[in-house]
Amino acid sequence: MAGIKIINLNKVKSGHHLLNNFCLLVNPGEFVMISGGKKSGKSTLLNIIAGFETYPSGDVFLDTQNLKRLSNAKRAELLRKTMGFIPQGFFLEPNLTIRENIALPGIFAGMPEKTLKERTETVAKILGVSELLEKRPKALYGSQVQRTCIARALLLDPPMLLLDEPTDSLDGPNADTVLKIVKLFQEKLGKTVLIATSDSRVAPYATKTVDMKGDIK
Amino acid sequence: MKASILFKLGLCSVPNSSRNKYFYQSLGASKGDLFLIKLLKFLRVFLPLLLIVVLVLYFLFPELWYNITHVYEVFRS
Repeated sequence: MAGIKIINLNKVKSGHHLLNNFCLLVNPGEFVMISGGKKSGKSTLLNIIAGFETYPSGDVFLDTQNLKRLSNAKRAELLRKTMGFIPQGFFLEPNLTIRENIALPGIFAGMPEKTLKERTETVAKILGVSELLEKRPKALYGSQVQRTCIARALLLDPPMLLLDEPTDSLDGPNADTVLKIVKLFQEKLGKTVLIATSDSRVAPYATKTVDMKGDIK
Repeated sequence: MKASILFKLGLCSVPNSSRNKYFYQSLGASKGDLFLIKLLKFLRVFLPLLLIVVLVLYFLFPELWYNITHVYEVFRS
């Protein structure tokens, strides 16, 4: 279980004050929708929580640990153990098999080969992509790509899932499939879920909605 | 296994510009891993270009090629 506390976070990008003394509390096991228009700062917020972007002032606590006060190595280790990040676009490496794609976080984390194989097969089974393990991404269709990406994010069994615009460019049934799977992990396994999106289809699944407003055109 | 995957990511995958710039970090890649992937991607673009330049010089401008490869003679004399 993992929660997030953000206090007075500030971030300026290309002259736009994206985050201005922004505060947020995410309790363990919550499904939080971070909504807002373009350039409202929702993806930036997700990137800051995931440790990809720095911030000039404010504090981000992951459980009780202030990310700013950790060394780079400790922060990277904590984030790797705590979060599964699904970037916008559900990208799979085209030259790797589905098995290798799912196993990537474990390979980077230095997981032993036998454990990695077992874990890859377990998450593939949970997400219903077991029969695709030896195929390449171009052979996938429908929601199989999205399910593979979710399997990859869950490989290290993180207590928290971050998704950036997961339903962007997905049609109704595929968007529903993705959201139902994520909701299932939140409800049954107690995962904390943060989704940055401008898609109103996410709202019924969320237990909390944070409106970033913005919408600078 | 990690070495072969890094090799595939660097030499075979599509360029970085077509995907989220935090893609590899989101998978937990360390700074060392990222450097290696970027180096391989750079070599993938740079080495064929270098080869083309060498072939053009060698076959189309043999005198220039000779001067470049014997530049040390300028200093010797």
